[in-house]
Amino acid sequence: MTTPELVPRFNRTERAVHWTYAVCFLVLLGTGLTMYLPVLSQFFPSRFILRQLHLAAAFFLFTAPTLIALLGDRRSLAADVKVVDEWDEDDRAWLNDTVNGFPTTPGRFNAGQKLNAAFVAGSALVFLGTGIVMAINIYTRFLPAWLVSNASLIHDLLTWLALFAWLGHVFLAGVYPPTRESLRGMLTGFVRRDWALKHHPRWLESVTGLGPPILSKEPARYNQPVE
Amino acid sequence: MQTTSPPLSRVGRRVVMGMLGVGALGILLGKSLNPLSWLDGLASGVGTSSSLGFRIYTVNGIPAFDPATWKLQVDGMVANPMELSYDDLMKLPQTQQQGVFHCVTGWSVPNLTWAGVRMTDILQQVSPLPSATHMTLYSSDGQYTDNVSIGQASKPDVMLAHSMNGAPLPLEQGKPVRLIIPEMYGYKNVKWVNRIEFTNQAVAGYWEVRGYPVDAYIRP
Repeated sequence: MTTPELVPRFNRTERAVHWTYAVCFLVLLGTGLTMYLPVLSQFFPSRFILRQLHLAAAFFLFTAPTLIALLGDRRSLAADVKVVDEWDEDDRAWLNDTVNGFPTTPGRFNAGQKLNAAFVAGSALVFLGTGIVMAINIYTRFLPAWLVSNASLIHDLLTWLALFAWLGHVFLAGVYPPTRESLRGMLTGFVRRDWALKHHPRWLESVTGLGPPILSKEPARYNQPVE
Repeated sequence: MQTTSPPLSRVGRRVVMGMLGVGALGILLGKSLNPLSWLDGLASGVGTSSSLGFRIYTVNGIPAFDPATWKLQVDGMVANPMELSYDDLMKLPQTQQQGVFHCVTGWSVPNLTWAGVRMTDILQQVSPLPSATHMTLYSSDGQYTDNVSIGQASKPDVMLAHSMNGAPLPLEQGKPVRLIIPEMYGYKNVKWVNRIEFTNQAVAGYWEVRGYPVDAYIRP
């Protein structure tokens, strides 16, 4: 058996940000659902501890990745954000191709991954805003009841969306055989070259210069080369 | 077949901005968007006896109730301390009222009918001393307490409720009795009340020790 050839995909900063965020998100999801669902909440002995954990995890969800970014390789994170932000014709085609079964040629991230990342960023901010309204009402002074009620409703509804988005992410990145190589990338920093060639061909080309020739007409703008 | 390469579009930030926009709109309109209202009740229907929209909060589990041994002790700074059995409580003048239950965390349950004993009737029986200003309500879970002033408790809609919507309170709703003080958030509406102690000051309750405001009046 030969060892598969590996190519670097995520550096230490990217992985640290991902896993720090993931741990905070899971604590938030677990404590949030336990406080929210009567089937769990009525049997959990201390609501106070749940809430303190929830608030602490929210604090670290925003501060820890920021700190890691400041201390780590900011440029690679900025490049990732740029990739998620910028969509080209291929990304639009990817969504179409996924439905119709055409072969696709994603770059560093495909359009589904980009959508997920943008959803994660957007939901973090909406969770923060609505959560601050709820926390102010609880801990400092009472706001108008309609405002708290609406903020709480949005916070709750978004939790369901985030839960299903997270389940989809875990399935595709860690369970589904054709794509679960992603997890190795996020754990070790490396992925199999043959997998990258299939799933992220234009990214592979941009970092190694050894992508499929037919794709070379596309500019290699999907990421900075990884050190 | 694509022959041109159109400029990049900033879809990622549009998704983020769009979510912020929808979130802000939701905070402004929220529950007035009727199509969303069924979703709000989604959680409470899961695995609880109350599908009315209550979330069930406890700080030390749900205490058991035995009508044969249960007592409500009313003591402290009163002229006539008393101890009521469940039957004694049911023999006091009974009353009924409609109400909405609001939680400080943002959910609420409308159209509730509470039945029980007015606090004014209890005050009349025990005669608080002139120096008494507040009462502390103890929950039989052994941890939860909260206070209200005698003035607040003297309003006609403040009651020790033993029934909700025509049936005895479910265990998770405070069986056998909970305080109902409709103008205040739920954390003042102590569940599983088994003691009322009159004091000459507001003794901070469970959540107040942990940062909640002592006055829990709901702002409209």
